[in-house]
Amino acid sequence: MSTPSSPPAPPRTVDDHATALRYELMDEAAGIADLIPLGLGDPDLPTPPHIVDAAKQAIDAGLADAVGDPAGLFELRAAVADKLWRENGVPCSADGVVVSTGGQEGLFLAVQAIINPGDEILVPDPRYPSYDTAIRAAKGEIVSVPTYEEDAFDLNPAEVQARITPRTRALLLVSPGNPTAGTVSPDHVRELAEIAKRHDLIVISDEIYEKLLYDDAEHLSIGSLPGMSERTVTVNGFSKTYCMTGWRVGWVAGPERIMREVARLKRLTSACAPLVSQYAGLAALHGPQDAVDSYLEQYSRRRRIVLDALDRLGFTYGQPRGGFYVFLNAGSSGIPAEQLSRKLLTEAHVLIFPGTGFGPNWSQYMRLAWLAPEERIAEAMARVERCLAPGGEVSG
Amino acid sequence: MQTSIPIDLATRIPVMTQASVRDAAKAALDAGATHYTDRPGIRELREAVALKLAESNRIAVAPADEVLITCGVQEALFLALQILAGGGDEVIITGPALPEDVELVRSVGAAARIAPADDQLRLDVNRVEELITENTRVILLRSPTAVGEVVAYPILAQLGALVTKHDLRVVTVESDEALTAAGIEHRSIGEVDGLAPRTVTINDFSGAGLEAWRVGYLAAQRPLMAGMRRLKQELSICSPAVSQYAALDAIRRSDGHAAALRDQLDVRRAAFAQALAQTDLEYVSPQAGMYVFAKPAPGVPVTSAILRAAEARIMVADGALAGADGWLRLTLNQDPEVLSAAAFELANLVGQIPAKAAP
Repeated sequence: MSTPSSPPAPPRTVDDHATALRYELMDEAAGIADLIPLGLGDPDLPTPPHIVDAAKQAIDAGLADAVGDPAGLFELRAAVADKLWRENGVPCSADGVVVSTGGQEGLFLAVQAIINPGDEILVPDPRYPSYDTAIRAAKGEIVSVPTYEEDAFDLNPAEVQARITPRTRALLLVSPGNPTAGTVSPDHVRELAEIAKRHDLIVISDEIYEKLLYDDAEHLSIGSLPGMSERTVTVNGFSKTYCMTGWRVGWVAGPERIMREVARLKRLTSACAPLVSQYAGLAALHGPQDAVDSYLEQYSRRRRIVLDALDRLGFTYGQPRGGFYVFLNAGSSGIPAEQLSRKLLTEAHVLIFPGTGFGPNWSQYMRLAWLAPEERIAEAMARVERCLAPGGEVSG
Repeated sequence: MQTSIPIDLATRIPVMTQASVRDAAKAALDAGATHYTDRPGIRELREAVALKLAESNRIAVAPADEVLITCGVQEALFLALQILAGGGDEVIITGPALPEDVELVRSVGAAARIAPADDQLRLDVNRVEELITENTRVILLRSPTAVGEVVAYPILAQLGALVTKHDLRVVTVESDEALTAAGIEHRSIGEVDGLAPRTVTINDFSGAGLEAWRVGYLAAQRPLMAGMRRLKQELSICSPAVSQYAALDAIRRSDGHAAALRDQLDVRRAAFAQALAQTDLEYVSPQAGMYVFAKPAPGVPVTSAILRAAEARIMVADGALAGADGWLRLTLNQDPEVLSAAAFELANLVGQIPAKAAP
């Protein structure tokens, strides 16, 4: 019996190191009983009950039985278009919206629709690695644009401008950012819009954390600026705002000429988004929004606990202005982040992802997600402080 | 001659979600299944899938890392082709080839080579072999096929021999397995000797009315699985939690719902075939699925046939939707007596060249 001579691994489209590391740590963490997970971007809080109820009603009514339009339920696409105009000032029609199986798939589809082989796309560094997977699948060239802790990881338009070539096709904006929690300031968004128009770039704007803003941070959707709606594809979803990660539903919106291709690719990639989840998304947009305020209040208190502990540890960070992460600089510990991540996991039973999961330059940095109850976060930070104290030992 | 009520033989038969599945989904939501699940799928579902594959398909896979729960068959197929074929590669699609399969192969950058079916719309291994070149990487197979042929084991074994001989992989989609006619044995190419390390088996729970829930699976041995598993995580993180719990209920219970549908289809198929046999229409009555295929008389193009039928208020579809060019696709969407009447009427309409055909 012959065995296949040329195994089809390694995958051609997956960013190996970053992904492998992230999943390796999660696998290890799964075996630790008193673990406090501050790694994954999965909110610990529940989906608001009115959204769950709407999904159950859709199930009872048999609405989830019929396979729908690959682009998504018309009502949901219309609700997204309405939200974009009302809340973000982005003009959009229901035909310019495709419902995706989560924001990450939405981003993947948008990149496949826009990037041709050899096209360059400007992307912030550090960044969530699935962007790279999407770009590599489209055979695009990744051009990293550095952001800096001292700028709170805002994206500097001059750094973008300096990297534009005749092959530059698109700019990826992620604001608020992952892993940095930095926001692109409205003034910078306006400058970036001018650059995009001047160089005829498409902007892919990932706004999945738009509702989770701290202090005086402001969110400006680049698609709302003059002349930008025809060259902006906005990616968003329900996972982070409404604690709906498990439902796998998000959306992509933009000019119809691009969205027709996104819809075609959506059909080929996964047929359509799950219907139950689409009805849940519809309830999220149409229903009361007070749960979001309540989540933000809780996140704000957790953020304070984390930042105070980091200050005591002598770790610096870019001020987290949006989302639920802090990208901290653990350089003062003298331990490289990957090693530190393992140490904290095995000794303190706290999972925090190393910065190298978000780009090779971030070997001193770590991404901490405050997605556990306040008292658990306080406990986690106390464990970290004990673990890193001179001669420090931790007992669970 | 015109019927008073339109007869719809064009649209798919809607398969309603089973009541127990709905209850299981709602219970899961009440229990807080609103977060990401294990990336490859909830453990209980992977175990149930592995058990089903072992018992029904003679395929042995480890639930831990050889089963991946996907957002339906389509995502599974996308992952498999994206990992196994790329630019410069050729994928042979066994005919009749679904147009969307051809489009998907092209969208991952590979060349689609369609191995035509024989004149009875059956998979033709010889045509597959003729298409194999040094650039061939994958054979894409559906069984039951797009026209409902349940590919017999000897044919699967011949295909398997080609796969091994030419060092290929095979991707098999078996989502109409649940609608296989009584007395017909559905077999999987993954059970063919030596094929296990080369086969990606894809299926779903659509027999239980779960198509719109977007949940399915793929199974493959570890070296084949690794890349698909990682790409899935990077593409959609995990499959929808509520849908996975729905699927768990569907797979754990006996397939009572699918069996009821299957029995109904068997009765309808037999009645339709019996009527068609009394006409001069050439037809194919398959062993699975919800369609029968009939061929208009020579000289009657399919589009004309569809129009003539529509004028007589019988809605039929183009067989090309199932890769059966030149045939009509007829859904078993009516009671047996209606199907019988429709068969005779269709024969009158498209079964022979009308004496006074338009110039």
